[in-house]
Amino acid sequence: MGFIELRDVTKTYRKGEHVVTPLDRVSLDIEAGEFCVLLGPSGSGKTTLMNLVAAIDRADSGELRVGGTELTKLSASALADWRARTVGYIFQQSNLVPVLTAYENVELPLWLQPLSRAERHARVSLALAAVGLSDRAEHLPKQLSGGQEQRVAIARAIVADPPLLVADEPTGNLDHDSAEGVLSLLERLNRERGKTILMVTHDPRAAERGTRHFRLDKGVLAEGAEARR
Amino acid sequence: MRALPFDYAIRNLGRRPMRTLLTGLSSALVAALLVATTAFVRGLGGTFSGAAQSDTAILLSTVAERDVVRSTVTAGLPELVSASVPGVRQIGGVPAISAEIHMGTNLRLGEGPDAPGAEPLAGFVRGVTERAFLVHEAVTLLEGRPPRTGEVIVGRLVAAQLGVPEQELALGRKLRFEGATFEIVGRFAAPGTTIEAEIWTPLAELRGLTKRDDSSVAFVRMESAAGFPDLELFTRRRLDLELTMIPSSTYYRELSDYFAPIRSMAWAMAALIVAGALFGGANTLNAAVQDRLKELAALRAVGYSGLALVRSLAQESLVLAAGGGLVGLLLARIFLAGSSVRIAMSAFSLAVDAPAILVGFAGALLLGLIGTAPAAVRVLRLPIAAALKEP
Ligand SMILES: Nc1ncnc2c1ncn2[C@@H]1O[C@H](COP(=O)(O)OP(=O)(O)OP(=O)(O)O)[C@@H](O)[C@H]1O
Ligand SMILES: [Mg+2]
Repeated sequence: MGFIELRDVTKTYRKGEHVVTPLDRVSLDIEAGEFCVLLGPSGSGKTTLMNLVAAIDRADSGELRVGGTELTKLSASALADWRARTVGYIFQQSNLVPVLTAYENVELPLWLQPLSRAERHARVSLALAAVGLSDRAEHLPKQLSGGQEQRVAIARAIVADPPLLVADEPTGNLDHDSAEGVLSLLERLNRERGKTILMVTHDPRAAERGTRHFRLDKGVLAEGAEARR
Repeated sequence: MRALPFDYAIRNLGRRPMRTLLTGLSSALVAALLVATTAFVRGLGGTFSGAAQSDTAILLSTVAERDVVRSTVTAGLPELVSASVPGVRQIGGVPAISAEIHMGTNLRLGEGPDAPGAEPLAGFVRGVTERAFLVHEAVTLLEGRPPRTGEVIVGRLVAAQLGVPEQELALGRKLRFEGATFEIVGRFAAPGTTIEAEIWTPLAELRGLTKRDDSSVAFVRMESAAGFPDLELFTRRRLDLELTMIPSSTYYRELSDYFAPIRSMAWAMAALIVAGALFGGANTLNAAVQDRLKELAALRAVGYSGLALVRSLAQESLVLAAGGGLVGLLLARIFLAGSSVRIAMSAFSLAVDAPAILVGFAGALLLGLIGTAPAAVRVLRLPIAAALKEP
């Protein structure tokens, strides 16, 4: 049994007469500890798929099991709890809370757990150190560079130590060096800490980092060498 | 429920300082307005509550239909009552029965002559004997002494009722009405009664000046309310006197009921303004949520429940409502306390007391809470995936 299992998952969007089906009976199996890269043209449904796996959106039909939990059967609040325990989401934009410092942003997921102040402090410090931003703890997001913001967002995604990281074009807005830093970080999280990673990217060099490659096009998911074309 | 840090709510207030300021001001306005309305309504109600005495009844003429000014009773009524009704309270060997003239009159301040074209003031005068002090428990002299011929004592709200400065009615000052000049020799209080807006002068002199040989009413204080049937029996035995007996509690309750529409109107006006503030507050908070859709969606993605976000939003709103409310209470205290309101021939002071303050503050908080509702619904319904796409 895989860590992520999709069985005939379908998602359609209806806008008046217009029906879009970004995911058409998609099935997928991913083992724990894999670094998967999802490729595909714009509008092909990559973000849609990520959102389903991260349980911030619901499928129309099909089965969706992540870490042994059948997501389609959970209530909204159960899903929130599940997200807090299981998944760290890294967006294309950092989506940090502008009124909170880097430290406080990273601390956010920890308020959802029964931790003491000292435990929270230890974990936040560790996460900030892991992304190399210990010296920026007291900075507000607007006082950070784009690359630094994205690294804070990664720290926020890993601070609660979730087994799954979902990254939707995490380097899309970054220059070459910053992107390189973020990718190395993800690679290390995968290798050294065994995180299962699902990453969307348009960048062939970013795709190199993955251990498995998928391509989504016209609602259909393909895997393997042809996916990397 | 796992909650967002309180700090987040507080710092959100600093995001749009102008918006926060305006919402805070509207909270202040609501608090002040609710205090004012409560003070007004309670002041108006209290005006009659203090005068009612459970052991005292009023005798007035049947034809007057309970209007003490139109009423006339025979001058010898106190003696008749004390001779034929058992159970009248005796204080220091004197029956507690007070014959009085109640009248509205035009009066002028000072000794004159007046500046040409100066309008007279409309005041309320009560002709009394010393026995009035036996009957009207609420009345206490604050300074000076009871009036003798050519003298008056004034209630402490008379200046407010006439709309003149306090010092115009200081001891030693003069008043003119009914063609005579009077010196002010005393100032009295009668908390929670309309008596405070009256001018008292000796009954005999007022009779002479107005060429009457009767009284308006007689107040009779019994040993207890159990004596009222005897008094009633007296009025029915002496049909020739054409008297009606009303317990003073009944009389003042009816007076108070007479002003019920004014109280309702005051509340209605307050409600209207509060509704406006509510609408404004709800709108502002809704706009705040609109500005933060993406951030809120990101927080949901992190694992916060919709309720946790709503709670933080409510904290934000309540902190602001409480802060604004406190400012409003302060303003109300500064500007309202000690002020009074004129109505017709009377006046009453605004009761800016604990209940009024409580209503003001609770109102502001409630407003903050209810104002959160539309934004809360929005947050709870927020589709996370779609909101993350916001620019
Ligand atoms: N909330 C929505 N309502 C209607 N249609 C939507 C919605 N979200 C996505 N779509 C449509 O679904 C399709 C897939 O969108 P999705 O965002 O998953 O694409 P994507 O592969 O992530 O594209 P990109 O590479 O540009 O990010 C698109 O055609 C899009 O227009
Ligand atoms: Mg996308």
